[in-house]
Amino acid sequence: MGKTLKELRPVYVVGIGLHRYQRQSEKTYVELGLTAIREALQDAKLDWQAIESSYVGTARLGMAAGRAMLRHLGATGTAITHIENASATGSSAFRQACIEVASGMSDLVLAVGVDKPDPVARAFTKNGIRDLASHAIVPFTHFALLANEYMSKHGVTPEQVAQVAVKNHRNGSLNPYAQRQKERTLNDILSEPPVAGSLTRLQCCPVGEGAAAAIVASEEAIKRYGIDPNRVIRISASVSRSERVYEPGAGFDAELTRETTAIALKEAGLTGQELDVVEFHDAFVIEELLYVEALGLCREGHAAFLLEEGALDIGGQCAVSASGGLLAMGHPIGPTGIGQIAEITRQLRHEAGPRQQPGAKKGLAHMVGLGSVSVVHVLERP
Amino acid sequence: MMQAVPSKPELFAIKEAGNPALKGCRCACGHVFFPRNEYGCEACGNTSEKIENIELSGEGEIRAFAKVHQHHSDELKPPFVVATIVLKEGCAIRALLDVRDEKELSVGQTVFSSLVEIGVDEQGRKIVDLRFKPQR
Repeated sequence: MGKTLKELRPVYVVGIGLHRYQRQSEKTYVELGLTAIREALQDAKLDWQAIESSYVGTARLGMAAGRAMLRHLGATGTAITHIENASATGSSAFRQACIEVASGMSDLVLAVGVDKPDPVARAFTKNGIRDLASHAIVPFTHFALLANEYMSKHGVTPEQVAQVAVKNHRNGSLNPYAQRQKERTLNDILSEPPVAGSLTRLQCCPVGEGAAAAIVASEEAIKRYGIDPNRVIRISASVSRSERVYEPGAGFDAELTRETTAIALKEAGLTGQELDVVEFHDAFVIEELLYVEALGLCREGHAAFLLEEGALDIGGQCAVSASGGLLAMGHPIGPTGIGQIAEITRQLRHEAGPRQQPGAKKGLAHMVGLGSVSVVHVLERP
Repeated sequence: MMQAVPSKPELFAIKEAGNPALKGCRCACGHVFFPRNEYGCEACGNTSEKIENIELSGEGEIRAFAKVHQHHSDELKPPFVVATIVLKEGCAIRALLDVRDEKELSVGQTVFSSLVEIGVDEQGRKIVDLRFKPQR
């Protein structure tokens, strides 16, 4: 029987850094990535020379992005490994960094996610299996179908679902790293032309460019480099799962999320009710409602009411997507999962400024990726 | 009448009587799936010799539907309507619907496979594609 992350030696986030998520610009990915990494090093008060290994998460840049970026920090000769796991790319890069430290093989490891919009071949379309409507169903249409099913099953209205976008844009307006930093009213959101089903543009995440970095460390490294022990955040679970065969027609995103979050919470020894901050893969509004329920924050069909009560707001029972989530902070793919770790770390350090969830001690980061895969981390203030 | 040609012959078969059949599979483990593949069964890993080709009836129940207003493709111009359909053999598929107005639809409604003409081949035969609609 294998071991969980918590059964290995403790791992902590000691440094976080970001390049703002934004629309595609002239900047190279190298500049985006270096900005995030230098900010993370400065945050941890570490020199690049201390980093023993790097995981580079990118889904859209193509082969061999890592050293062409990292060499400008000083070519130290340390290990570079590229990670691609669709939308969960950054989460998986972070997970590998945690595992490398927890195993004892390294004391200080970098996970960096960086991407720029670039059409990229989707390998799963090369499986040689054609389908009736795969050419007609892009992600926003998939989630429009899930929204239709949810609303019909639970008697929830499109206005109630769109409130997710109101909350997450409000949170994003307080986040200097967010791609969308503008508050939006329900009317702003609903009055835009429809995309698919009940979804309008602002109920779908922007996919732009950006970078996010996290440095993880062992207790030995924290002592050796004199890292401030009051600003380190423990990673108490790291779980990665993939889709199984569910009941015909069951929503696989929610089923996979239910399994993955349940395992992560069990490994951390927590219940969903104990979480203060959660960052979900809310690429489309309906996902937040589905995942709030899958995580066990409320019973099935009740998430829209929890949202209405303000329980998911900053200051509520559990701040969901305090960063603005994918909906407002954005979803540049490679960086996204690490950006979630940066937000939760900031929240648990009580350094999130106007976005601060009061007294936050425990947080969870969740991504799903095409395929489908899911990666979940639980973080705790020591 | 000249014979119609299916646009994706590996996916569906035109029947002399009744609505078109969907070409699916049933594994020895009981798992029913669509479309066919020869790689192995997703539920149990059985290889193709334990997987039987079957025809699915093309009758099912709408689980969800959505009218698509924006879609960037030369192949398919919006608006169109898509649905998740659970076939009566117990297998969920996604398909385009042949309806004028999505207001005709409701979750739980029974729908049937049907054919629509999407073009003509070099020999002048109609090319038909599969859609679902509320009438048989």
